[in-house]
Parts: sequence; structure tokens; C-alpha cells
Amino acid sequence: MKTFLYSIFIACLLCNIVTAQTKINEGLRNANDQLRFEVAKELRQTEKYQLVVAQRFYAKGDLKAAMAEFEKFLTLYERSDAAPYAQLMWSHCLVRQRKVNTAIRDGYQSVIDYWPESPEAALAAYLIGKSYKDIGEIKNSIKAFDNVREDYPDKQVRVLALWDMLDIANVHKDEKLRLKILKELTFEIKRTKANDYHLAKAAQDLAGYYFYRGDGAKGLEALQEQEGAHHMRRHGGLISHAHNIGKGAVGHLLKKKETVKGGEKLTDDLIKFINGRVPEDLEKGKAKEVARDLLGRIANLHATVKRDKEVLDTYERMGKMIGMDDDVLGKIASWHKAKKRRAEARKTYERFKNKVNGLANIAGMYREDKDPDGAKSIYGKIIQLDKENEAKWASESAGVYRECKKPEEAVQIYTYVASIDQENKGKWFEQVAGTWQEAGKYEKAIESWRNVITTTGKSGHYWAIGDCYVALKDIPKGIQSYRLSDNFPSAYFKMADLHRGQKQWNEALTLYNQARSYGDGHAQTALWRIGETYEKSSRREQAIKSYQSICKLYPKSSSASRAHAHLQNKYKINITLGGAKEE
Amino acid sequence: MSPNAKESTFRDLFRTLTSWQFYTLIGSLIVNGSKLLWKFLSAKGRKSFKWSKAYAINFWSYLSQPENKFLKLTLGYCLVWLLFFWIWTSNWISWTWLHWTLLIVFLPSWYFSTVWLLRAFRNKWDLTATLRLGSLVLIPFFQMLTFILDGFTYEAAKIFGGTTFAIVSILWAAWFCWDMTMGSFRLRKNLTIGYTIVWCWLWYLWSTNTALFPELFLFLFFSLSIYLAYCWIDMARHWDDNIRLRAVASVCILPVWQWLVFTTHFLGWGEARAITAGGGLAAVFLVGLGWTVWYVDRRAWELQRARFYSAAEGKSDVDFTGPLSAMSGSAAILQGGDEIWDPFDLDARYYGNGEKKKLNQSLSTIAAYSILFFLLFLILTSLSGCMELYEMPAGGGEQKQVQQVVVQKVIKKKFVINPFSAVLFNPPPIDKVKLQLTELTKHAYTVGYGKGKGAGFSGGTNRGMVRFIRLEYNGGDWDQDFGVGADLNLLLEYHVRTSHKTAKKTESRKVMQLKNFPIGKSPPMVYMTGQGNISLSNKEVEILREYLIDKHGMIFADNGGSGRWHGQFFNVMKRLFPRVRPIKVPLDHEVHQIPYIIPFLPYVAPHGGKDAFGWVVDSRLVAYYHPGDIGDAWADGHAGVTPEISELCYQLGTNVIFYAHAEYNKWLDRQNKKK
Repeated sequence: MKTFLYSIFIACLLCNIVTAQTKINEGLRNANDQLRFEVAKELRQTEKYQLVVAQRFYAKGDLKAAMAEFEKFLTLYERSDAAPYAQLMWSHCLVRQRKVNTAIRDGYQSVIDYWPESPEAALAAYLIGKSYKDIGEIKNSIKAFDNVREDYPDKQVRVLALWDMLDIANVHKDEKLRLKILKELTFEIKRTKANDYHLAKAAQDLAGYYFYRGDGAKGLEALQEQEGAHHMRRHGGLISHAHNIGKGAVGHLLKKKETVKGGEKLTDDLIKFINGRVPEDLEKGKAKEVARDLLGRIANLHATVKRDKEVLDTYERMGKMIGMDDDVLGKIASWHKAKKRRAEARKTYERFKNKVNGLANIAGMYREDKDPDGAKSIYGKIIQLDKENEAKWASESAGVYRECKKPEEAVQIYTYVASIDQENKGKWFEQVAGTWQEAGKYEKAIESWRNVITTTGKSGHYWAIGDCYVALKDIPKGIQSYRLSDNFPSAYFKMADLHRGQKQWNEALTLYNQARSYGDGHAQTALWRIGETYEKSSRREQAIKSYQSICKLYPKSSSASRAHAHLQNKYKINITLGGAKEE
Repeated sequence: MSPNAKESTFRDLFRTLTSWQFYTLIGSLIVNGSKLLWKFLSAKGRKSFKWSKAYAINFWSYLSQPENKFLKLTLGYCLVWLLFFWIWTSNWISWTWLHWTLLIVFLPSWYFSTVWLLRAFRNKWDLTATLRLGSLVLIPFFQMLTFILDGFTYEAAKIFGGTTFAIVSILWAAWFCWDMTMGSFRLRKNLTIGYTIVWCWLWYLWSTNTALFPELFLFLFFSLSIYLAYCWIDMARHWDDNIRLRAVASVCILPVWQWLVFTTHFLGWGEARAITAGGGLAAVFLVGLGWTVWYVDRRAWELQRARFYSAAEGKSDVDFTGPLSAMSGSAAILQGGDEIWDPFDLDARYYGNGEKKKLNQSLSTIAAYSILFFLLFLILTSLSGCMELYEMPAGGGEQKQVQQVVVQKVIKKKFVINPFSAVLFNPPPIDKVKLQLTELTKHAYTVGYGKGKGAGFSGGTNRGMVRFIRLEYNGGDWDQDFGVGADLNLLLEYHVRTSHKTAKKTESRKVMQLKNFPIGKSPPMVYMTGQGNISLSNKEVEILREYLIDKHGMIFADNGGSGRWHGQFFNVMKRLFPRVRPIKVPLDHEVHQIPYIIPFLPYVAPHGGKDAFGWVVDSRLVAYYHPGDIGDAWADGHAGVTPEISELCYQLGTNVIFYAHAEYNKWLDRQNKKK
């Protein structure tokens, strides 16, 4: 029994220690706010307890209490390893209370002055620069970041400082500073897991900088420097970035006469670079896919500088290397289409091994040409080849008629489709009704929507019937249909709006009041509209009461702000929304 | 007339007016007008110079006579007196000892006054002359008393000086009216010329908000113009010349118009002021138009009459046109010969050959006059070099937080002596014990910036004052609650809290008008509010940028009631400063700390959030944006917010105005050092 009790006591103690350990950093999402593990594990229980108390206040947003607790920690455990952390957190509390200048002067600077060797000092040095940047003190900010670069060359804060400086250079269009920072980030800093993103992004930006000036070699050099970065590999790798950034730059350079040559040279550089990476042995692994991708990019670059022959040659080369499959043919056809050689494009689609896909593409071209009859004949051929999907291809054909504003033909086809596809009859009837409504034939549309409701049993379609009646200016029936749609509270608002339009004020007010029961958001809108309705019906007192109700019931909402302004402008009435409070 | 025919007539008329001939007409009018004006001015100028020269020589020889030696001495002393009077009133002297030294300069004024009064009595001057002299003597008499009083207490001197100044002004106004009623025509003319020159100067000072004289004095002075106008019209009534009477009456419209505008402004009737300003402009336009039409018609008639008589005399190159044509055109026209370009002539080539020459001439006259009037109006208002000055109040102080006034209790020194003690004490006599009962620790400084006497700014001037200027912009409601009290309440509170001299009324300026302020004398801050759109042209954006950067200005923006205005203002700032990002102004920023500590941002309704935003250029806020209708809290009733919030709103308003002025002063100091 004794042993058992002793074991329980030991277990409780361990449990307590583990809980205390895990409670540190609880609720602190930002990495800068968290205490380093190596420090946390060395702390005494009392220190940990004090920190946890302070951190909890901080996480809860009770910043004044948190500051007091961090201060208490500093008073009690001045020599603790967590003291710089406590001082840093004290400064964070000030920043969150929008007392940035005090945080810089009395907080971050104190971390540097009292614990210059601690990792928190490096972070504090960076945060000084960041805080200056956030309050618009750009000169001080750059000065602080420069200090970070010099004092902590091997720390992550150097990268962060450079990153913020880059942002400043971008906003202020300081190209010289921008280039300097991008070079430093790309070439001078050793890549780690923490700075991987920053370095890869900097390399891309530097490449963009050079590409947009027509300097392909330097741009590629920058990208190659960070080729191994995880971020670069995850987003398509070196070639993908070189191609995408380079393509944008070529397009930009071609816009001006004086830079056209630079654009062409950049294209050649990029093509040469990509060509050098096309695998020779196509039997190895995914070599064929790689070759397809790279050659596709080369063709794309040729297309950007409008080299027609070279584009087609590249696709031919691709065909020879990996076989002339439908994908390659599709690319060739697309290029012909882009060059407005539609006959060649059609012929190329005809060469597709998958005949159905080839014909579908040809039908698509008729669709683009707004030739529904041509498209219909092609879809007819497809149906002969693919009888199983007759409904799909026929509906596509109907869609072309619908786009070309030929509702009768479209409806005829949809009706036929409904007859052969009994399972999805409702869906096709919806298309019929939609076609009539789109064409402005509301009587037929109403009839069709009723048919849909009978077939599917979905009352939501009454909304569409309501829309049709409103378009026909038959408001009572419209209101009735909206009510049947069961789409509340939207239906209440819609019906009330219609009643208001008919100057049936009391009906409108009743419906808006019914909408108020559907939560605060709807209640605010409903109250606003009630106010408007009273205004329109010349009931000034009630209108004022409605607007005042918004201010009283929902003082923090944007509706209250609007109502406040309206009351003041129109009625010269001031009403308080509670004003500000110390938070 | 069928509708089509009417339309074509108008079309034809429009074509005629817009053809090149019309521009030729305007050109001819300008050229002829300039020639006439030059001829008139040069002749007048030569004549005036000759007259002035002869008059000066005569006057000097008169003074050189031995019996006029004392008069000469008096006049010389008057010049010295005026110079030192100017130095004294300009507050250039800050040392007390120097103030009393100047007494030596002013003392002789009493001697000269006494001597002249004795002379008047001894030589038995007539009553009017003696009274006139008495009125004149009052000036140095009161001035000396004020000067002596100023040496002891400025406030009392100010009241005494103001009162005596008013008395002397009223007295001289009475003399002015007397002379205008009783004087000869020449005296009246000269008085009118003199008055007009001073009127122009004072009007300029008033319109540029230069508060050199109190508004009551200006009101009295401008009111004299009404009597002056009455005198002239009354005089003209006896001339038996209706044209001259009408001319006098027409000219009299100007002072009457100005007086009405000034008086409505003086009484604080904003709407009435706007109506009188607009109405007066319309009246001037119509009267001017009437005179132009009359003159053109008269000249045309003279030319026609001359040609008609030539035709009657049987001259070969002139021929009658017949009575029907003469009704709407010319009575006699030239046959062949050169084309006529004189715009006063009905037969000028640009009036055509048809029957509607007279109509064409009238329409052209109206159009040309309207254009010229409009151009003149533009030149004199927005496009003009109507320079405006903004001067900060002179003084000094420190840019520090306001501290509480603490009364420190000091323990009394007590001498407790036991009269029955065996020890022999030797206490000091009770009268020699200095009892320091209480000690006051008060503000060790005044709110302001720089070194100077009183609360204010070292870069300011004695006539300067803190003004509250609202910015007018297109597209929205810039004038939300303008003139209701919010702006003025803040200005009054600012005065109470800082003791800085402030304007009596708030103002508004268009964006384009900011251009009229020169560098170094522009408003340190303008206030902008509204809840609609803000529409600024590229030119306005340019002027606003120039105001904020080159003129070191600042915008105090207040969201008057909508999320839209928030976006609109941010867009404007993006256009103004594309390379500056808005920042959330920290609560420990100077603007939130000095002179009052603002613990949290007070607002009425959070239309644009709960944070104040700022745009920082070279470590200075060029714009401060308040998201929650702070202006409402300044207004009477404070929009229903608690007294604590409204007090904080006043404090924040004070801080922003002070921040803008202190920064402006720092900039002025830097500019001066560079020089």
C-alpha cells in the first residue's frame, strides 16, 4: 500500500512538471512571442509559474496585467535566463497597446543593453527596425536594420531585416537599394530551413530585375544560385521560374521599339538554357515527360516573340522525340488557331487518335464561330461514334443554340434529351425553363418551371417563377411565388420590397418585422428598411425610432454607423453609439 | 415662325458668334481699350507728376520761411514720432529699460501739442480750426498715456489704448463727415481719393485675413463709405446731368456692396454674407453691362449720324439704306472702299451684311462683355496673385506635456519657547522671521515653441493667430456641419487651453486657394471632413502636394460618417503620396502626447475603424486621419458622448493643431538657419 501511494505521489509530481512544461508558450501563436525550449527546460518551477501567468494574460489580450506580471518576473528573477524574454514580451505588450515609441526606447533597447549576448537581443534589434518601419520612421528603420546586418551577420534576423529593407526599397522605388539587398540575399547568405523562402524569393526577384533589363545570363545565374531551395523546387523548379519570369520580361521588352532586340536576345538565352536541359536519353524514368515540358516551354517562348516557323518546328521536334500523340497535335492545332489558320487547325484535330476528342474540338471551333448548325452536324457525328453519351453531346449542341440566342431550337433539343435521359429529366427541364427565361419568354418559362417543380418536387424554383412574374409586372403573383419558394428570410425581404414599391406600407413593414427574427445581421438590414419605409410613407417619428433602434441594439456594427450619420444629416439628431473606451 | 426655322436662326446666330470674326471683334475691343487706357493714364500721370512737383516745391519754400520754422520742426518731429510709434506697436522691444528710454522720444509730443494749442488761443484761431487742432492733439496725448501704462501692465494698456483709439477714430470720422457735408468740391474730391486709398488697403488686409486692426474699427471705417456714397449722390443730383448722376450711383454700388458683405461677416451671418456677395457680383455685372451697351450704342449712333449727314451732303462714297433697314441696321453705308473694323460701327465687317446688324452688335457686345467680366473675375479671385498670409501668433514655449498645477504646502517655521524654561533663549525678533506659508509650483513653461514672450511660436508675428481652416473639395459634403459650432468650439477650446491668440471665426478655403499662400506664411494645418466622395483634379492634387511638402502643411482629416469616405480619403492620399504607406499612429506619438496625453483614441462612431492613421514624410505627419467623427464631439451637445470622451476629443483636436504649428515652427527655424 505504501509503495502504491508513493508511486501515485511520484506520478502526480511528474504529471505536474510535464503540465507546467507544456503550459509554457500555450496560446502564443507567433514564434517571436514564444520562449525558447532550451531556456524553458532549465527554468525553476516558480519562474515557470510566473511566466505562465504573464503569458496567459498576454494571450488573453489583457496587456496591462501581462506587463505587470512580466515586470514582476524581471524584479523577482533578474538573473534568470528568461529575463531577456520577459523584457521582450513586456515590449510586445506596449506595441500591442500602440505605444510603439515607448516599446522601442524602454523595451527593445533595454534587451540589447542588459542582455547583449542573448538571442533575444538580436530579435530586439530587428524589432526596433520593424517598429520604426511600422510607424513610418523610414530613416530610423533603415539605420536600425543596417545595425542588425552588421551586428548579427549569421542570424536569421539579418535575413528578416534585409527582407523589410527590400519592402521599403520597393515602396520607395529605390532601385539601387533594392538591387543591393537582392544580391546580398541571393548570393551572400547561407541557406537554412528558416530562410529558404526569403532566399528563393529574392533570387526570383533578382532574376526578374535582370530579365526586365534584357540580361538573361545574370538572371539565370541568380536563379541557379537558389536552385536547391525547397521553395523553388516546390513551385515548379528552376526551369519553370526561368520560363515564367522570362516570358513576362520578354513581353514587356517587346512593347517598346528600343528594347525589342533585348527581348529577342533574352528569348534566345532562355531557349538555349532550357534546351541544354532537354534529356538525350528518353528511355530513362520520366525523361519523356521532362522533354515534353521543356520543349513546350521553348515553343511557348518562340510564340511570345511571334516566331511562327520555330514554334511549329519545336512541336515537330517534340513529335519526333516522344511521338506525335494527341497532346502534341492539340498544341499544334492551338497554335494554328492562335494564328487564325482555322482550316489547318481543324485538319490537325482530325488527325487525333481519339476521334471523339478531335471532333469535340472541331465542334468547339464552330461554337467559337457562332455557327450552331455546323456544331450540330459535328455533334451528330460524335453521337454516332459515342452512342453512350448521346445526352451529353446533344445538350452541348443545345447549349450552342442557346448561346446563339436561338431558344426554340435549344428547347427542342433539350426536350429530346429529356426524353432519352429519363433519369435526369428534371435537370433538362430546368435547362428548358432557363432558356425561355433567358430569352424573355416569361409565360413559357413559368410553365416550364412549374413542370420542373412537378418533376423534381423542389419548391425553391418558385423563386424563378416569382422573378418571371415580376418581369411581367404581375406583382401579386410574384409575391405569392416568392412566398412559396420557402427561401426565408430572403423571401421576406423580396416580398416586402415589392409591397413597398406598390406603396403597401403596412404589408411591407409586417414582412420586414418577420425578417428580424432571422439573426442580428438580417435584423439590422430589416430595421434599416423599416426606417426607409417609414420615411417614404412620411412617418418621420417612426423612421427616427427605427434608425435609433439600430444604434441602440447594434452600436458596434457598420449599420449603426450608417444610421448615426443618416440621423445626423437628415434629422439633425445626435445619438451616441457609446463612444470610445479604453481597451 | 416654325420650330425648324427658329432652330436654324439660332444655329446661324451661333455660327456667326463662333466664327473667327467674333474673335477678331474681341481682339479689336481689347486693342482699342488698351490704347484708350494707356492714353488716359499716361496723360494723367504726366499731369500728376508736374502738379506734385510744383506743390512739393511750393510747400518746401513755405516751410523755409522764418516764421514757419516751428511748423517745420513739428513736422520733422512727427516723422520721428511715427517711426518710433511703429517700432513700439510692432513689439520689437522686449527689454523693460529700453521701453522707458523711448519715453524721451514721445515726451516732446506733449510739448509740441501744448505750444500749438497756446498758439491757437493766442492767435484767436476760429472755432473749427481750434477744435480740429484739439482732435489732433488728442492723438499724442492718449498715446503717451497708453505708452506709460504699457510700461507697467500690458493688459490695462491694451484696454486703455483700444478705448482711446476708438474715441479718436470716432472723432475723426465725425470730422470726415463734417468736411464731406460742408467742404468745397475740391476738398470732397481729395478726401474721397484719400479715403479710397485707405479703403483699398484695409479691404486688402481684411480679405487676406491680416488682423492689423480690430474688426470694430474696420466696421466704423467701412461704414463711412456709405455716408461718402450718399454725399456724392446728393451732390450729383444737383448737377442736372442724369448720366453723371447714374455714373456716380453706379460707382457707389462698389462700397455699398463691400459694406454689406463686411457687415454680414462682422455680424456672423454666414448665409447672408454669401447672398450679398453673390448678389453684389450680379449687380456689378448688370450695371457694367448696362454701361457697356449704352456706350456702344451711343458710339454707333454717333458714327451712323456722321455717315447719314455725309450722305445727306451728297458724298459719293456714302448712300442711304432706307428707313426699314435703318430700324435694325445702319442708316447709311459706305459704298466700296476699305472694310470697317471698328467694333462700334454697325457697318463693321463682322456684323454681316444682312438686316440684323444691330442685333449682331448687341449680342457681340453682351458676349464680349461677359467673357471679359468672367476673365477679370477669375483673375481677381482664383487665378489672381491674391496672395494670402497665414501667420502664427508670436511668443514661445516648450513642446511638453501639460502638467498639473500643484500647491505645495510648506511647514511653517515655529519657534516654540517655554516662557518658564530655565534655559535662556535668544529668539529673533518676530518681524524678522520670514514665514514661507505656501509655495506654488506652476507650469514651468508655456505651451508653444521657441523663445519668445507669452504663449505662441517663435516664428509667429504679433498680428498672427491660430486659424482653423476647412478644406473645400468637390464631389462630397466638405461643409458637413460647417459653421454650426464644431470648428469654432475647438478653436475656442484651443485658445483656452494654450493661451495662443486665435481667430474669432473659422474659415474655409478651396484646394486651389492653397496656392495663394506663400512659402513660410501658409497654414500649418487644414481640416477636412465629409461622408461622401472626394473628387480632386490632377491640378488640385499637385497643389495639395505642394502645400504638404514645399509649404510644410498638414491635413487633419475626420471621417464624418461613412466607410466610403475612409476609402476615398485613403485613395486621395495614395494619389498624393504613392510611395508613402499609411501607418497607425501610435498612442505615444507626439501628436497623442503633447500638450495632452491621450490614453486611447476617442471617437463618436467608428465609421472608419478605431485607429487613427497617419502619413509620415521625413519623420513628420503630413496627414492625420481620425476615423470616428471627432468633429461631432466638438459640436454643441457633443453627439451624445460622455463628457470624458468629448473632453478627450477636444484634447486630441488641440494636440493636432499644436503639433502642426510646432512642426511648422521647427521648419521655419531650420529655414532661417540655412539662410
